[in-house]
Amino acid sequence: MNDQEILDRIKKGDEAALDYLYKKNYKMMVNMIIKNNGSEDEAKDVYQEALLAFWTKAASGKMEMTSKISTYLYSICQNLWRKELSRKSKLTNEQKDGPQPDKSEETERAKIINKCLNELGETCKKILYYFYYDELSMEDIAEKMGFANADTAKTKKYKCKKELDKLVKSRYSTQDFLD
Amino acid sequence: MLNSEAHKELIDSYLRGTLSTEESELLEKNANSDIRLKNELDLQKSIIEALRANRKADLKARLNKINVNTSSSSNWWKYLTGATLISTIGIWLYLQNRVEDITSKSQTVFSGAPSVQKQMETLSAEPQISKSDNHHLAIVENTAKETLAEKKVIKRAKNSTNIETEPSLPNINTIQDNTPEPLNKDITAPEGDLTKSVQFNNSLNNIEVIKSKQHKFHYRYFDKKLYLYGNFDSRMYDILELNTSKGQAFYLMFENNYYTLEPHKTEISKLEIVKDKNTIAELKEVQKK
Repeated sequence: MNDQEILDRIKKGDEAALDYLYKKNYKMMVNMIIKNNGSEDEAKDVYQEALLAFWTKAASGKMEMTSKISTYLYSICQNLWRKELSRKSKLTNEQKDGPQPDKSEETERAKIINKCLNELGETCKKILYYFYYDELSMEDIAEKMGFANADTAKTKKYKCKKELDKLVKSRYSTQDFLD
Repeated sequence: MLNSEAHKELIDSYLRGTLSTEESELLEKNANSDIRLKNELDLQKSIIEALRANRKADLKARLNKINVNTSSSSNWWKYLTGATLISTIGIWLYLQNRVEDITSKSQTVFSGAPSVQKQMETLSAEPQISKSDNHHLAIVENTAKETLAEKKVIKRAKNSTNIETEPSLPNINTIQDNTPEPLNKDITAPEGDLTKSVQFNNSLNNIEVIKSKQHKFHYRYFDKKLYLYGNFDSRMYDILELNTSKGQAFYLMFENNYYTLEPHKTEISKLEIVKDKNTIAELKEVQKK
């Protein structure tokens, strides 16, 4: 598979292309981080973050490649790893036991939303994932999900989102939000 | 004044980053003066964040399942090279067992490899026998007119003195009868005609995918080429090789299933899924390597 073929497949949300890229570039990316004082776990994590950042950008069609995919991935990995090293360095220089921001409310809300997501059907979940994370076009969602056309995908997405909103809002007082 | 639905659409676009700067600023300003709009904005932000986090976690879980040491379809031939090497070692070990057994009984040495049975039968030249230490293995070149593959003749001499004996070519069946169980049960002596698998081995690097309405999951091996019929080129597939009790066997790995490939299927044949658990386990092992 050449780069253009990979990009074309990613734009259609073909996850096999993601697997292919992951395997193909794993050693190069992970070795680069390990050589720069990273552990294998850290290297793997950074590489996955970089690859998924690339995936979302390419899947949404926002990417115009001017270099090879591997070069692009390498630079994302480098940047992410630099950030991580800088974060770790700050952690060691600052007081580690300082007051942490209270995130209990956010965590509680995330738990509620996750529960509601689990109540949602698989099809709905996938449509919403493809729309909000992968940012696939309605045409590509329709093709991936086997729907008749983009309009069908759009209607389904609308209904799924409405259902999810309803489930989440039912856990709160209705007057707090828009109808 | 916008109604609730219009506001929700605006919020959705805002959170997906598709609003213009002016529209974004206006929405933020309105949210500061409308608590319900603010709450809705915060809630939608949490919902979309949760959706993204879940999807990301799913994709990471998918990536974590990938064996990064496994060759991809583009370099599947590495399997063949590795497996062929293992196979050669297996045959070599197998041959040692038999030669040892035979030499201990008849003080004769035979040459040739069981994987080329047909060619072995025609082998009649007298190979040179090198001087070797006790239990020492020596590989000498056969001076006869064999093919390149046959030129490596393996011998094992039990004594430290020269053994100048006429090589007698034993019948393959006799060898099997007289010999102990091979060291590795997976790398056993061929029972049948191996010429087909040898052919397969040498020419499986030539694969063509054909999209056909009539044949959606088929294959055939024709003119030293493997033809795969179906939607294979848009997804990953691998060719794996196993050394079985009947010789080398080839399999197609596709969407986490394995399918048998047989070299004599020159007509378009349906890909048959492998059901045997042991074979599947072995194939998974090969894949890990």
